[in-house]
This record gives sequence, C-alpha cells and structure tokens, in this order.
Amino acid sequence: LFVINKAGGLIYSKDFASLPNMSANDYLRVASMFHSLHAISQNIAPIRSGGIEVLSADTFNICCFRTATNIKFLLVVEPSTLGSDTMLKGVYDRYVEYVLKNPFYEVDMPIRCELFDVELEKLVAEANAR
Amino acid sequence: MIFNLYMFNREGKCLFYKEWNRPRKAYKKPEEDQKLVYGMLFSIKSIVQKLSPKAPSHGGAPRFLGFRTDVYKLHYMETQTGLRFALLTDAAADDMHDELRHIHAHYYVDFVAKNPLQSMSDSITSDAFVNHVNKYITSLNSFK
Repeated sequence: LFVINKAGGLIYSKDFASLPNMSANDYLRVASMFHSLHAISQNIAPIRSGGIEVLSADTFNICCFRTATNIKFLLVVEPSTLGSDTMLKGVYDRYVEYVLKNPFYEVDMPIRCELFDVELEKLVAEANAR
Repeated sequence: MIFNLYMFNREGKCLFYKEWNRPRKAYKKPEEDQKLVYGMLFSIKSIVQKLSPKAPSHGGAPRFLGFRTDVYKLHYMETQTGLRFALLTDAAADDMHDELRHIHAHYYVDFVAKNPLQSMSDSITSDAFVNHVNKYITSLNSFK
C-alpha cells in the first residue's frame, strides 16, 4: 500500500508481503513516477479522463484510488484479486478517521499515526482471511 | 470504441499513428503527443520491472500489459524486436492483445518487415499496411 500526496511525494508505505530489491529510496522514486505517469495519462487521454485506476502487468496489478483532494492510494495486488477498490475505499475511510482527524497531523506530511497502522493491519488481516 | 493506435520502434520514434476517434486533442503537434506516450510507456515498463513481487511463470522479465482509467483503456504489446504497440480503447473493451498480435503478425510482418524499401528508423510508408490495419480495426466489434 502506498499513499501519495498532491505534490507527488510518498507520505506512507506499507508492505504486506516482501518485495525483493526495493530500498526506501526506490519506494519514493516509484511513487513519484507513478504520480507523474498518472498526470501524463490524463494528458494523452482521447477524452477527458480522471487518470489511471488499474495498471496491469502479468505478475501484479496496481490499483489507484484518487481522492477529491488529489491524494492517491495505491495498492499492489496479485492479478486474481477482486475487491481492491472496496479495499481502497476502506483504507480511505481509515485515513479520514485516524489521520485527518488527528489534530497533530499536518496535511501532506508523512503519516506517522499508530492507530492508522493498527487499523490497516486489521483491514488486511480480514481481507486475507476471506 | 477504439480511439487510436501508436507504434514505436526501440529508439522511441513513432513509426505509425492512426486515430479513428479523438474528441479531445491536448497538443499542438502530434509529435509531442507521441513522445509523451512513448515516455510514459517507457517509465511504466521500468516501474513494472522494479515493483514485481515475483518472477513471471513464463521466465524472463515481468511484462506490462496495459492500464485502465475511468474512461479509457490502453493495451500495450511489445515484440521481441523492441517494437511497441499501444492501442487506446474505451474502458468497456475486452482484452485487445490478440488483436494487437494479429496486427503485428499479419500486417506488420507482411507489409513492413518484409518490405526491402522500409528502413527500421523511418515511419511506415506502406499504403497496404495502412489500409489493412484500417479495415481490420473498423471491422472489429469493439470499434463502434
């Protein structure tokens, strides 16, 4: 899971399975690249578009949920996974609850809220159990 | 509905571009648009290589297949020779990879690759290729 702010910077990342050969810098780079590609995809669009929602490769898919405030939630999943968009909305709900309503959190800053982490783990554990 | 088709060679030059439907043009020259598309595909390919959680079953590198936005879908195919195809359709279209393979195997190989006058770094000049591709695409179910 990655969360990208409206400037394109990575503000949160969490691995639920290990990703080989990815350092912290790589995450930052990949997230910013995705942000720019999302913008380019809107530019080249033959009709007015809201940007990439699902990017498919043969070993994984990236699902993207874009909020009205231009925050992007990215989920890297296996191709056979269904319900990623419900999951992303669930993540967004928890983002609103534990991050935005946190009076110590400044918008667009890296997310360091414990409760957000805890709730995300619960959400993923439920999803993986199903 | 099929919007347009781009074909790039390994260096990034656009060898072929055809649009059937394009309500929105955000560029002044088609070259800018083509370069943007190529750059985007190149970056997506490198992200896919980096982010892939496991090696693909067919051996070799993880491949990018395409992406979908809320209103359009881009289907991508790359051949072993480095030739890249990008087909933009509406979001409801099914997987168009077979169609892309058909275009490559039947029209490109026959009219372009086998053409002794066609150099790899020039855009495609063969009328037969253009006509066949046009006829094929307009005859597809997804075309409307």
